[in-house]
Amino acid sequence: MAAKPAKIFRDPLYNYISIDRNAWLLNLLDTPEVQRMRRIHQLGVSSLTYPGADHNRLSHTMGVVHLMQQALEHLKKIQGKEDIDLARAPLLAAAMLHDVGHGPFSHLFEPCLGIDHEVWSVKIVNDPETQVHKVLKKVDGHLYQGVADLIDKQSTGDPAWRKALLSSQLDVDRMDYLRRDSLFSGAGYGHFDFYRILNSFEIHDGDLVWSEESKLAIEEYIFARYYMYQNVYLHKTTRGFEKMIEAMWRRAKALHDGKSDAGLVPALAEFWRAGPDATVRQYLRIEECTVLEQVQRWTDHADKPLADLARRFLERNRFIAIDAPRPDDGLAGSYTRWESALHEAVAKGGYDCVAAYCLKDEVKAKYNQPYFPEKENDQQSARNAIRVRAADDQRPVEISTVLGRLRPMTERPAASLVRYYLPGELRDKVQRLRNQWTPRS
Amino acid sequence: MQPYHLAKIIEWSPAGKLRSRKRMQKIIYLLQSAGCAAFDADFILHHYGPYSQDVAALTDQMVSGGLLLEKEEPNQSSGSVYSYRLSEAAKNSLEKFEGEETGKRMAAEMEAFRDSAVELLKADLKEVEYAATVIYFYRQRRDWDDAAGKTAKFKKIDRSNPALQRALKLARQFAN
Repeated sequence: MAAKPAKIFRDPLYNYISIDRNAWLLNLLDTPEVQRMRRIHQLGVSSLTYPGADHNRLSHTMGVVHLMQQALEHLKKIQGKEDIDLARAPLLAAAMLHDVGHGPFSHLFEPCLGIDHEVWSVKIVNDPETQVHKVLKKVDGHLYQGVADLIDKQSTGDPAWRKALLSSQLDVDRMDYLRRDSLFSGAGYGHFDFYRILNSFEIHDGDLVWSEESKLAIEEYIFARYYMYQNVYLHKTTRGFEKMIEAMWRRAKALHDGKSDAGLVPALAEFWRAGPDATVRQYLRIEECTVLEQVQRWTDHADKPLADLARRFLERNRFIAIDAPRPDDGLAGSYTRWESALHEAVAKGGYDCVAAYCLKDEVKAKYNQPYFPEKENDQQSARNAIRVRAADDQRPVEISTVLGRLRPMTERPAASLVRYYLPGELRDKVQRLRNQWTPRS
Repeated sequence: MQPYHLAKIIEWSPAGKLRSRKRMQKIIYLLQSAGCAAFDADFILHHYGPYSQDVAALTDQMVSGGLLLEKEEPNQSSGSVYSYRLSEAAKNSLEKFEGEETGKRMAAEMEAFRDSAVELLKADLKEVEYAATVIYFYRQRRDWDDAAGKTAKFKKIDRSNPALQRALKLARQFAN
């Protein structure tokens, strides 16, 4: 019987993505757990800042599968065919499933629900009741374990290069999302020569190493990552709405834990009631439509701060952002004095529940740094550092040693950024407070 | 995790000098495992045991902020190794901070882990690395024998390797 032609998907980033029609990968794509990713925004609430950023997790997932296919084709040409063929099924399945555990609005709901999407991805793969598990089991009785190991950051069963291809400082996941998020947000910062990067690496001592010829493409990638974090992922308007959602959820959880009626929709009530024993089925029922219905419901809640936050969110009535002054003590990063002053301003402004109207946002320093070159040679691996090798040299070196332009960005990391979000009605008052703030001597 | 916590580890180091970023990583991982809540860094496992980008970033941030003095020193096995000392400004700041209410509270929290930290600062680096790796595996199944076996496989050493045996003993002290 003649093989069917590959199934072709149109994609705005790669034009075409093809998946073999005879293969199980297409069956995996059609499972309800994978299709659920169509209903998860790739960039959470970034579309409140960038109206075009409405793309979903599934389109990113297909992009990752596409890049993984290309990376494996490249490796097959230059490495032993057998090794790569063995790795093909688990790597393609892991590419398809690495984000399957994401909750509503992607990373945004991790603090709200107290979850880690990777943990849920692994649970979904391992749960015999999911279609994902059934498809994998049909291919090979142990494939699901191999896939779960690849997704699970705690697992060490795989050769380093396999894990690094999926999750490291230069992997197919990042290569897709930087360019895709750039395209859909319209921000236009995520450009780099991904084709060269995907076609210029090898496996060296079990780890990924790039040819020195691709160093400028990698430099471009690192700068693209920096610009995307500064302009899109950490945009202050987006972060403000994220903090607002988190505050809403904290408020509701406090009501729920205090045995008050939090007005929960059934799926959420069930999930919170189950606590750490929540099942995969209970988790997967919490979708973005569940969350939006919940927020809509809260607009009429008897708890005033909760109802007010819910209305503000739906009406895109954003809080103002104000950068914190230098902390009083560099060693402890203490903002106690500044926070007390803000709390006083909020209370005087007529907001009784300070916790709902003075929202602290601390962006860890690592998110301001697009790439970490681990300094000591014996700490360097594909997961820790990007390494390149000149054609005439057997020894790979960390990339910033051959790219001086990277050093200002990697050797002097930006400090953590601390910002506070408050109701716009307090703008003049807090701006005055900030302008007149004197550091403690 | 605040700069204060990292500063305390360096202050407790022999002669006030902590040698090797690897040691810093593993000590923080082991103290975190022992229940030191101040260390809330995320760790992943890589070739040389548990590694945290949070710790690496905080170290570099303190160097660029003038709190730590960094020195690159040659090392036979791995090219170069970095050592860290507190700057004079950091020493003064530390003393002043610990005289205040918040500082006194944070110092008391850290003091409970002082002896453990000092022990790790003096211990053989390879053993510290193995111990951290053993704990990493132990936390997956709560089984010491399994953790030691996995560490041996992961580090490509024999299960009866004397350094691994000593590391296992060390790890047992730090598992919470």
